Amino acid sequence: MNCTTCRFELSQCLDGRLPSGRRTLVLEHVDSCAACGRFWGDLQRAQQLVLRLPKQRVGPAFQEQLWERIRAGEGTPEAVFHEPVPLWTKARYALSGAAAAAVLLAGVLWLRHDERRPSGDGAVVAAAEGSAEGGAAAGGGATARPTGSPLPQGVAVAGGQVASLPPPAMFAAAQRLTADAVAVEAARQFEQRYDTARQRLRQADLGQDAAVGGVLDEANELHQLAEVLLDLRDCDRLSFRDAEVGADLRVAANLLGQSRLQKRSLDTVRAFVAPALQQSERLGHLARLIRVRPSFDGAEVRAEQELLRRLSTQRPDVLPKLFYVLSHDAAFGVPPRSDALWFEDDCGTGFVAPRSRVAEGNVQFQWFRVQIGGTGR
Amino acid sequence: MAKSAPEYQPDPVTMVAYHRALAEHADSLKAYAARLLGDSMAAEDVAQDAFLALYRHLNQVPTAAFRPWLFRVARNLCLDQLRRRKFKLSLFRDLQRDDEQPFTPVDTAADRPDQIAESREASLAIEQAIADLPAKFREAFLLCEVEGLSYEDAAAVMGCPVKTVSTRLFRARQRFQSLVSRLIKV
Repeated sequence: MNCTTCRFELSQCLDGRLPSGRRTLVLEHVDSCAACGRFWGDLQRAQQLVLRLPKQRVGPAFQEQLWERIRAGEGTPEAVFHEPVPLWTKARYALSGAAAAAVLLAGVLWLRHDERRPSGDGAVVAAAEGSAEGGAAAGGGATARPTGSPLPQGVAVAGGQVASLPPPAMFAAAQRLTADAVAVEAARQFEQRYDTARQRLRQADLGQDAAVGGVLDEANELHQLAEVLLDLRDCDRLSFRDAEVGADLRVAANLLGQSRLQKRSLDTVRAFVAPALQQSERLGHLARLIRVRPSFDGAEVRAEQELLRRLSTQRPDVLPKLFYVLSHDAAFGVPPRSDALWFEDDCGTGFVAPRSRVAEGNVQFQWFRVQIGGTGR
Repeated sequence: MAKSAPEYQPDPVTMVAYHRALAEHADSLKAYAARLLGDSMAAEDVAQDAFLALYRHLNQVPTAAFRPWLFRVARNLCLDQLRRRKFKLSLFRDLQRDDEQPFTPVDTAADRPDQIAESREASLAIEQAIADLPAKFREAFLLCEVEGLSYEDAAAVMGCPVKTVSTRLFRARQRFQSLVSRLIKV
């Protein structure tokens, strides 16, 4: 075997396309030829370099925009099938370009001659007002923390205001609320709701009209939970034991998201919710199929808190569904609980408990829930 | 600008396959288009157009062929854009790279500034080496080596025999190796 043939076949060998007999011959040559040995090593290292390239991701609005275009009835772009561009289209391009250039030129001229643009002053005023409001909010927040409010819209960075009262005994063993706790709770609730949704789906299939609404409600909740989990996966705070699980979840999230945009009917359940719930058995055991990255500590607390802040701002409905907000005052005299989690927001330190722990029949939390009345909802 | 779309309601099984394709191939389709166009935003539009086209042709495309079909469509769209943009391309590509790289570190394990800078530099060098490949070789390299398509799928995308794909890929790898030899030897 000569070196040229060997190298060509090594390239195929790298892709696993060489029959085993031929592969043995090629690798024997590699062992006996220093130059081909180097080539083989370099070939593999070059492939490793390519695999380490950063992955591009589509933007968060990609799918939403796509579905909007589909719903709007937009057709296939012409260039998909390489159709020749008609003369009129070319002329239209030229005219559009000329028109755009004219508009641009007119805009530039207008800007250069208009010395009194209100937008600059307006922006300054708006910024000043914003900072004043922010300052007032921060100042007021330290003294008045609304009780019974859902999880805060923004979780503040540690080191801000701290509650003036010592924490009750119940919260002595509380852990910091971290993204991995959010991930675990979201996965647990997803698993529970997935089961419920499938039961309701069976009822709907049996012709129980009342079940259709229930299925769609569950689908809505599942969609939100799935999006949170996928967000955390994208932030590298969560991974799936198997890549297929992530793909299944993405598919389910897409289908369930679609169901929210359709008419609330059995047809929608059949077209979107049923495929989402039936396409993968794995999603029924999601809580066991995720790995969470341990929570940040030390200097990275700020990054962690920023992540939670972003999550609670972008998906304000979801976090209150994951956690009960525990009343600070009502917790005095209750024995310590390790299920409780603490966070800091603009109003000081707050405490929450994962809803799935309460739903599991934990007597102490059930009792506590009664004590705090409507606080946990 | 666009063909009129006939009303078509895909069946649930096909919809699941479509959603799966959306979940699995949108990112790689964008990456492929971005490397052909040198423009990340335009690449995202191309990926979206490709998925829109697929939706409109779900009744004609077998689910097993979604991936090569999408890449083929993305390729056509990119070629169309390149024909229109021509020499403006290189300028925008360079600007785009400068803008994007700092936000996508190559190795997240490398947390020291010098390591991050090093890996960014390496990433840029690799991207540049890919961009410097002759167009036909680059295409085979992007589809097979970067995006992991099979030779058969790449042949369907490029519209050439499978044998041609393997030859072009081999040539591309040879050139790529010499272009990144500094990084390989490190």
